Formats: sequence, C-alpha cells, structure tokens
Amino acid sequence: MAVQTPSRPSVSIRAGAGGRPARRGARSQFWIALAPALLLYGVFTLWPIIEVVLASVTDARDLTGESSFVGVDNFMRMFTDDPDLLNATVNTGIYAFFRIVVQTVLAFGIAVLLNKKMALGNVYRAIFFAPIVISPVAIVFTWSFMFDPTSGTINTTLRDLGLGSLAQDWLGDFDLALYSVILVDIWSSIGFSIVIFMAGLSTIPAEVTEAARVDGANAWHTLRHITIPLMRPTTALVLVLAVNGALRAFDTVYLMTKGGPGGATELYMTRVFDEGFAYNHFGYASSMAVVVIVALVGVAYLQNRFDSQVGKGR
Amino acid sequence: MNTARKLARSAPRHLVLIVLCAAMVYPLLIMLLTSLKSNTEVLQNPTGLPLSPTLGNFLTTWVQGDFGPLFVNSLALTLISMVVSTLVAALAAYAVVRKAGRLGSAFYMLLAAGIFLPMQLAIIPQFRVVRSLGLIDSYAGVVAVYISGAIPFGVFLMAAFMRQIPREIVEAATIDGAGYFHMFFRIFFPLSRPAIVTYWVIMGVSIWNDYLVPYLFLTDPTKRTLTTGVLYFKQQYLADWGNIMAGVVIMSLPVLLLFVFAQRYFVSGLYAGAVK
Repeated sequence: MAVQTPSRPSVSIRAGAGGRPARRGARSQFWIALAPALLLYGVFTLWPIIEVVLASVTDARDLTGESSFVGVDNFMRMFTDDPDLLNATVNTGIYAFFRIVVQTVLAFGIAVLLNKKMALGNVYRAIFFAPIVISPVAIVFTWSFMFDPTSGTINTTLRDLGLGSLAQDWLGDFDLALYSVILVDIWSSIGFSIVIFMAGLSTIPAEVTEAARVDGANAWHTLRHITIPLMRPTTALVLVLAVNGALRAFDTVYLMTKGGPGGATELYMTRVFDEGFAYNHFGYASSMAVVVIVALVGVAYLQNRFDSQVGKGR
Repeated sequence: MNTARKLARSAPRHLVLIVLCAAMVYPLLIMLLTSLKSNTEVLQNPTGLPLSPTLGNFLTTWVQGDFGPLFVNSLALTLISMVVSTLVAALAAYAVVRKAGRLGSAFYMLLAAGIFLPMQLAIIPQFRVVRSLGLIDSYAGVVAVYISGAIPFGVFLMAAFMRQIPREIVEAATIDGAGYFHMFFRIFFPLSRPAIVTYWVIMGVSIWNDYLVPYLFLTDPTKRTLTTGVLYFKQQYLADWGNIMAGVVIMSLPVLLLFVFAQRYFVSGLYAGAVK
C-alpha cells in the first residue's frame, strides 16, 4: 500500500480532450484488467467454495442429484456420531504433533548449523531443500520401495547389518503405518521449515552474537540467551505453518496407504475426500470441509499476527 | 596452524551436517541407483551400487510407458497454464495496485485469499463446474483449474513488487502520454520480472508435479501427464522397481535441474508464500 499510483493524472490529461468519457474509460480499464482473473478465479475457485458452504447444510448425495436442507445435522453428526472421522481426527492430531514438535526442533537445529559461511554450505542447503521440489508421486513410489517388507532397502539393510529382528512391515503394520507416513512427510517438507528459520536467522545482526562472544558467552549460551529469544516470532510462524501443513496433509496417504491398514493412516483431509468422491456424500463431505476451512482461516489469522511481529523484528 | 585449528573447530558441525544430509539424500540416491539396475538385480541387490549399471530401464519405460507423449503433455500443460496465468495475474495485480482506495484493496484481498484454500476441499464442485462447461477430459478444463489455482499467489507476488515501482516513473510516463495498458506492458510488467521468475519457479513446479487434477479430470489415456502416467505405469508393472524408478527419475529430473539453477528463487518464493 506504500506506493499508491492513482490514475488521476492520466485522467486529467485526457480529460482536456473530452471530459467525462475519459474518466469512464479509466474506470473501465480497471475492470478490463481485472476481468480475466476475476472470471477464472470466480468460476473455478470461488464458486466451488461457495457451493461447498451451501452444500454443508444439505444432504446432497452425489454430484448432480437432489438435495434438501438439513440444517446443522451434518455438523452434529460430525461431532457426535462419526467414529471414522474421530479416528481420522485423532490420527491428524498425532501427525500434527510430530510435524509441529519433531520437524520444528530438527529444522531449527539444522538452520542454526547451516547459518554460517562454510565449505560445502551450498551443498548441504541444496540437499535439505531438494525434496521440496519433487512430486508427491515420485516421493511416494521411492519410499514405497524403501518400505517394501521383503525387498525394500530399509529391511534389507537391517538384515545385512544383522538387525533382521528390527525389520518391519512399515506400511502394513497397524501400529506403525502412521509413523511411516509421518517420516515421509517430514522428509519432504523439513526443507521448507529450514528456509523460514534461515530467513529469520539472517535478520539477527552478527554484531549481537559477536558481542556476546566477546563478553565470554560460549556457543550454547549465545544460542540459549540470544538466538532462541530473538527467533521467537519466526518460530511461531514455523509452528503455524506446521499446523497448516498437518491440516492439509493428503498426498502421501492418498497415494501410499489409502488410509489403511484398517484406517490406521486415515487423516482428516483424506476422509473428506473419500466421503465426497468414494461414497458420494457431497453434503456431509462439505460440512467436514467447512470445518477445516474455518480452522485454516483461524490459522491464517494467527499467521498474519506473527508475520507482523517478524516484520517488526527486522 | 590457524587453518588446522579452524578445521578442528568446524569439524563437529560438518560431521552432524554430513550425517543428516546422508539421511536426507538417501531416498534420492535410492531413486537414482534403482533406476540404473535391471529388475532382477533390484531384487538381489536392492541397497548397493548397481553391479552392472544399465540405462535399459529408461529405454523400456520410455517406450512401453509411452513417456514421449506424457512428457510433451506435462510440458504443454505447465507452459500454457503458466503463460496465461502470468498475464492474467499480472494484469489483475496491476489493476489493484493502480486503483486507489477501498475497491483496489478489496479485490486484492479477495484474490490473494485463495492462497490458503486447499483445493482438494472444493474439488467435487470444481469437477461439477468443469463438467457443466463440457470441459471434462479436455486440457482447457485442466488449464482453467490450474490458472485459477495459481492466480492468488501470482497476484500476491506481483502486486507486492508493483507497489515498489516509484511514483515518478508513472508520472513521467503519464506526461509522455502513455495509456493505461501501454504503461502495464512497458513499465509494470517488465519491472516485475523478479517476481515473475519466482512465480514461474514455484507455480511451474507445483503444476508439473500435480497429479490430482489430471487424475480426476482427464480419462483419455493419450492425454495423461507424466505424474498420472507414472501412476498408471505402477499399477501395470507392480514390482518392476527398476522401470518404475526410471519413470520417477524422468519425472523428477527436470524439476531437480531447475532447482539447482534457480535455488534462490525457490527460497525467496517459499519464504514469500509463508509470510503472506
């Protein structure tokens, strides 16, 4: 909003030639420039979202069929009488816990280690960031091969090391599958958290840490009493992004486990998708979607608040 | 002496980073190494270096999986979506930046709000819209969905850049008689180039990598993209991991190469998207 460049000047110059028509021309130019985006975004993004909101209070069954108004029945059922959704929500909670705690702590540590000019620094960074650009399809197939219980690389390596007793059915074991999914997603998205932490670290002036060192603080003290407190807003942002990532988590489960075995890896988002696409319960799926949209709006609000704090830090 | 001490002091840091990097790079290595092994060698030697490295998988996968057309389809869909959406988003960003007052910022908010909406949630009504327009199984439908999904991030990035363009440039151009669209094409669009590069890198990769839209909206096998092509290929060649990994490498190599050359745009783009 800093530089507002009003179209007035152009209007006034042309106004000399013809007064009102030019002004109207300037206004229509605004609409002409905006129209393609509004049209595409309106038809293919906004309208579908509005349809979801409208359908959330109906019992719409399939993509075309009749539907009638059911008020808040869908929401009541979601919160009181849907064991599958409860299971998916609990799984999402476990998933979120690991994404939030493990991924954030690891990413922070790695960012601190990387935050220094050093030999191989670029290579390290590239390796941590690379998985971000790879397609979920590629990620899932690679990890499926690694997880394969008989010929997969993880179990084979364990057997070669004489640790065959640790070999597992990583994706087929009811108690283990969710953690395998979490591992894949931390691997593929930790680079993103590191990017944010490194951007935050780069805003801490070198003089500050230098001064501490001169005063006799060792590396641990500098980290504990200077870096970590100064990184609080950035950390908050990373945490919010982790919550966001957990609420959106979809691809790995959809492509790798389909929610199985026995619902062990079902997440909120895959539940919404299955309810809508596999069971054609469009109305009910829409209610689930509305709940997560509300949650995401809340997360976005928090994110904005932390952003302005990060901004102030700079 | 001094360098030796320096080395000794930084050794623990390097040690930790090397161990972590080894864990991070392991799946990528497995992807690559497996693609160079014959299907029989994969079963006998899944973990080690290929004893008799072969590019045979790439040949058979490319031919049997019809990867030539898949590659062309992915490239065409990505390029068309990016070219059109860049223009559409830049024009919209220009409009909201140059419009003083509430109307400009209201439309900005409306367009940029789409960044945080996960489209899997709305994909059923989206499917319905595309079908009622008769665009199921056509690239027009897929491209439209991609463009509408890319607009919010594009408007956000480009508007941020266009706001920095000094007022004096605009005033000088106005005095020279430059019209509204002339000023867009001659000043605002070219000056937004860094934002546009970031946008291409981030959105281009995400469209190239997307599987859900072509998976649901295209049924004709000849219209498949690399991602959906590899998905179907896997269903057909269940445990031929050598061939499957060759497909995975073919699909990932372009984005990895792009990443190597445009790393800083990725980093700035990811950061910008996070602190929207």
